[in-house]
Amino acid sequence: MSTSQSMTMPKINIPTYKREKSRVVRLIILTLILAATYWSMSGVEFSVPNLIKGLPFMWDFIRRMYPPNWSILGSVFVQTVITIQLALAGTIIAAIISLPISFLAARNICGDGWLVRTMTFLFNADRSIDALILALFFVSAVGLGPFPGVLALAIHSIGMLGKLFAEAIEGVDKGPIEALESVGASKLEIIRWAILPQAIPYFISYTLFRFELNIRVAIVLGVVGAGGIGFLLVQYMRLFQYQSVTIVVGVILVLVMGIDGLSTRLRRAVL
Amino acid sequence: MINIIEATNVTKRFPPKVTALQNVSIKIEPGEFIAIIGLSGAGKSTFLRTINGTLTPTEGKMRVLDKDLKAIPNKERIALRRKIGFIFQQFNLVKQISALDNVLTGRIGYNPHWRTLSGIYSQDDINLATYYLREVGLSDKIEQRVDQLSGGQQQRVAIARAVCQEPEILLADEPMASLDPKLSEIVLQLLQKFNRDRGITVLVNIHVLELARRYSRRIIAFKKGALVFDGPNDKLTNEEIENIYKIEDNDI
Ligand SMILES: Nc1ncnc2c1ncn2[C@@H]1O[C@H](COP(=O)(O)OP(=O)(O)O)[C@@H](O)[C@H]1O
Ligand SMILES: [Mg+2]
Repeated sequence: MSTSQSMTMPKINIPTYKREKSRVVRLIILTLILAATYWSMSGVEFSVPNLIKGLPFMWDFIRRMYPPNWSILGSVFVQTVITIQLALAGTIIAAIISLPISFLAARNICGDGWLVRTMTFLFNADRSIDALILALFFVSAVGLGPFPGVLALAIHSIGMLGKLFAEAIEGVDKGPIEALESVGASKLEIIRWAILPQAIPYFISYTLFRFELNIRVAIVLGVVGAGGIGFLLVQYMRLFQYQSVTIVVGVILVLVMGIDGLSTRLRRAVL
Repeated sequence: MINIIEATNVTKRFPPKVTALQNVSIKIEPGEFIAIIGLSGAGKSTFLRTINGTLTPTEGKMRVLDKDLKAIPNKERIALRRKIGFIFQQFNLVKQISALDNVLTGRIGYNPHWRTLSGIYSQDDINLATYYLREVGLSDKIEQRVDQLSGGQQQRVAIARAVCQEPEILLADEPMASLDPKLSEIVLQLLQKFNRDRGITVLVNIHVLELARRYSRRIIAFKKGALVFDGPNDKLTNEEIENIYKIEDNDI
């Protein structure tokens, strides 16, 4: 029935439609992507033959990781605690410093002037310097060990926490602020009673999130000499003790996933 | 002090083009209960805000509690606010803290910073705050977090906060607009009670005319920022009501 109907349909004049992005533009975009891929890969000497040549070595590496050397579990545990301490100390120091100065970056506290813009710029600048680079700087200042690691973690975390804290402050409901103004409260009292009760759950949540990230960063900082489980990893690698490496890698996995899970649950509880 | 509030030719402009109050002059005596009516956007809220000094008139003079709000320094203006309670349509409570802590913020103006910032209030203040929570019928909600209370209960916490300031003036900006009719009555009855028992001067914005007429003897009306009626309830004629609530074609 439908065919018989379409046969009797009158012929309609279909005009040409020119797409906004013509086929030429599409072709240019595709070419650019391919060119960028080729250019970057040639720069890093990406080579499929070498990758294939390396496969047996990788297999050999993995094979020698088995069986795991369980006997080192105790010392791995001790170093894990150091990594957690590193991350925790860095996070807490960063949170304590970020808390007061984030108010200077909040538009609803300090207006829309140069102060807020300067603080926002400083936070962004700080975030863009990787903790690893900061660690190298602090190692030259205070020597090797966990201490430069903590400093690097703390300083690097301030940028992100400061920015997030400021956003939490800016996001509070204005009603209570208005009410406290009407009561005759000072700025500090408004912060204490109208802003902090609203913002603190977010402060806690962001700090926990930063702690999750800092666990990962602390492991990497260990690799470059800050101690902890990362340091243990390079040591066993250098000594070719791959069966011990297995345990370290396993503990790292459990640690990262465990902290993530715990932190996610806590964050859900406070918000 | 004859007049507790005295506005003389008060104009408030919000640049670039809004004139929220236009040449408003009014005298209010201590102990009055005044209902303010008018369409939305007529300037009722702006009027209340110029009384507690959270807004400053563009032109004209506002005398409140024997102080010229424009002439006194900022610090003194803030200090004056503890004598002026404000009740909001959206309650404006701090939802994450208890009813008691909210009411205690009403005592901020009476306390040194170390107390208000630490939250360590005197036993007298705690007694006073709980007394007012009982007065508004919330004796079983004293330590409850505000976000666990219903809208009607929240507004009563807000009223307790305002009266806990032991104010001479109580300003209420459509305090029942987010509540159902029965709860509206409770709110107005409480305001009436504090007016009668304590002699607190009450100014309340009411968009429901019938409620305004029932609860207050003196009614004032705003229209496009101008004061178009000021007189006793029984002088408010149908003709005037029609004028106050008439929407002109060029408004739409
Ligand atoms: N902070 C403000 N900035 C700009 N315009 C405002 C502000 N507050 C109020 N207005 C304007 O002033 C006029 C009166 O508002 P308002 O006093 O809130 O009226 P009402 O309370 O009677 O509804 C309205 O046109 C409103 O848009
Ligand atoms: Mg209003």
